[in-house]
Amino acid sequence: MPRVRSSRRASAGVSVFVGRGRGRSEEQIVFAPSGRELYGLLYKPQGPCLGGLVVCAPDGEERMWSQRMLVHAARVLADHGLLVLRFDYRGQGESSGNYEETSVRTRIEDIGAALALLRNRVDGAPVFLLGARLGGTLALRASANDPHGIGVALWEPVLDTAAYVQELLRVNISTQMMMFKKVLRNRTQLADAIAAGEKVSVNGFDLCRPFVEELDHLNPVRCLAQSSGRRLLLLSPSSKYEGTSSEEVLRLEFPVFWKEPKNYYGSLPALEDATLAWIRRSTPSVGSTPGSPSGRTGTARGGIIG
Amino acid sequence: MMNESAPMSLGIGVPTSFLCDSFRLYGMIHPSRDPNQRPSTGVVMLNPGPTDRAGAHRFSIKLAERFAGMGYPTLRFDPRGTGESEGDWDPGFDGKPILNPYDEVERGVWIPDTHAAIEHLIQASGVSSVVLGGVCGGSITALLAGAEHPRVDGIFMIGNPVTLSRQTLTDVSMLPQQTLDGEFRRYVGKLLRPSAWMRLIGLRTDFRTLWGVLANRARLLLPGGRRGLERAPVEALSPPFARSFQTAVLHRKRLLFVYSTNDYHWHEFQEYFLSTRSEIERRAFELSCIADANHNLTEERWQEELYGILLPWQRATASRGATQ
Repeated sequence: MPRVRSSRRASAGVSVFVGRGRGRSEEQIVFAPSGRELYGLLYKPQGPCLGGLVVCAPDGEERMWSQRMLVHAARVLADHGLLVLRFDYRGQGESSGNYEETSVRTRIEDIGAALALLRNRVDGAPVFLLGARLGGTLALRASANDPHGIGVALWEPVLDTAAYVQELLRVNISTQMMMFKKVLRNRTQLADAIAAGEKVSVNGFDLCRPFVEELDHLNPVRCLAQSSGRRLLLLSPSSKYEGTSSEEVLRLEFPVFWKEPKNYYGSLPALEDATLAWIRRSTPSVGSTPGSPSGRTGTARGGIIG
Repeated sequence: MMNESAPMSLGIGVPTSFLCDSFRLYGMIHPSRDPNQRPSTGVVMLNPGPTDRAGAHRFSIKLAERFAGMGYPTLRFDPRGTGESEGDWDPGFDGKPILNPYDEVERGVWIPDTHAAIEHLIQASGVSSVVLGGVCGGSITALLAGAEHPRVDGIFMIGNPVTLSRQTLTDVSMLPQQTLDGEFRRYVGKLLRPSAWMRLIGLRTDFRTLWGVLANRARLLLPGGRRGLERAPVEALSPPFARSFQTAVLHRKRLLFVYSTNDYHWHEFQEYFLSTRSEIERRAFELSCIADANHNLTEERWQEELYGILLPWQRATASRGATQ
């Protein structure tokens, strides 16, 4: 390979990163349930596997903004003895397929496939779902089909799917304003267009009828009320959800991790800690790794778990 | 026969990873789908900023699939501190403006990672040279890393920032005049909107920008105002960009700039860079625009227009590389 000079600034810039060479064991995987190819990354614990956890990502553009923080969470949880699987739904991220060909049903099938894969690897240890935003809503719905009464941690889940769709349509209207300096189709007209089978772009992700119709019927609050497994809801203080006696609800301060940020955040320590504490309550061996009496490795909260 | 047609459904690449400065970097290789030729040129695509390698609305994947369909193996990867790769930004970045990591990117923080990626693609796919490119932060990384790299034949830059964003976006007076004019028209358009007045009364308006735009307009009304406001473009140009551009020209790299006309980076490019280039320098690069498109090319027709510009350029660049 020919020698290449690096600029002075570039070599200096390397110092803005930490966590060099932590020697984690991570594995990129492609799994192919029913012919579709899903991409995931497995985060393996250094010691014995004390349990498993599947991360269900937010949807569409929210996936992109939150990804790094979910990668961080996956590493923290693996450091505490869990085998963690992060994966992309079909039509999103690195998985095969087109976004507009997917629906709520396909996403729930994909969560089921990820769960099956993880269960094969944890040798009977307990398995959990962690879902963020719509991923939380989907995880909740997927857990209803699970015969094992799986525990689900939800990070600021979408509990009003109709309002969620309206928010997505608002993005399309912003694009119209930018392109045409006026609104050509309002939200009602956009919703009608989707119902008529048209695709409506939301920052490049095409909303289509099956997905939107199924979102309308999802009813996450009813899912919560009817669910039997353990539920942890981590909500921002502004969330209007009151909660019921059947789930644990914590209101925490954390950044809006699913939208384009004004400030940079590489991790969500409050959500990571609360999730870990909740898992530990049902699986006491998790997190009691030597040298980490607080259950958190590395430096102080918000520090580097590189 | 090369297959430039759009893939019916996005396929999955081949997962890959490699080390750079002992950070493990994760990526995907899209192997050539042209069975009739052994590829000699590959493509390395760079991340737009501190987001993952799929790009906005998976645009990097769409583009990589097109390149692979033409016979060019393509690597997308997450540089350190982003996507799935190892390394974290220093804790001092947490809670601070997102412009800080962007500033590091625009100054070349991912040059070593890009060089490692070039080496990895060459080893993994057997190509002898590469084209580098990306959108926004990916394009400036491509230029900084490829300007004098002997294995780089060409660099494509989509929505490339020619200033340092932390400087431009925190000082309204540094914004290009076209952008300030557009902001002024936007404010005028809001005058009859009650919601805008509510924001103003509720102190939710961005007063720094509002004041900067109004101050700019006031100065324009003064005699000779527009001329007086003209900044020496060299002050606004990003030094790493200016230096690397000169280096790339010196090393006879093929350079392509593509801009969306609804992107303030296009205004910057015109005011601070294009207007000050000599005739000889202008001949050293190609420039294309996509009318009315936004920064992330979110509409399908804009993406198609980009493919129409980029794919023939890629083929020409690879042909030139093969004959050298």
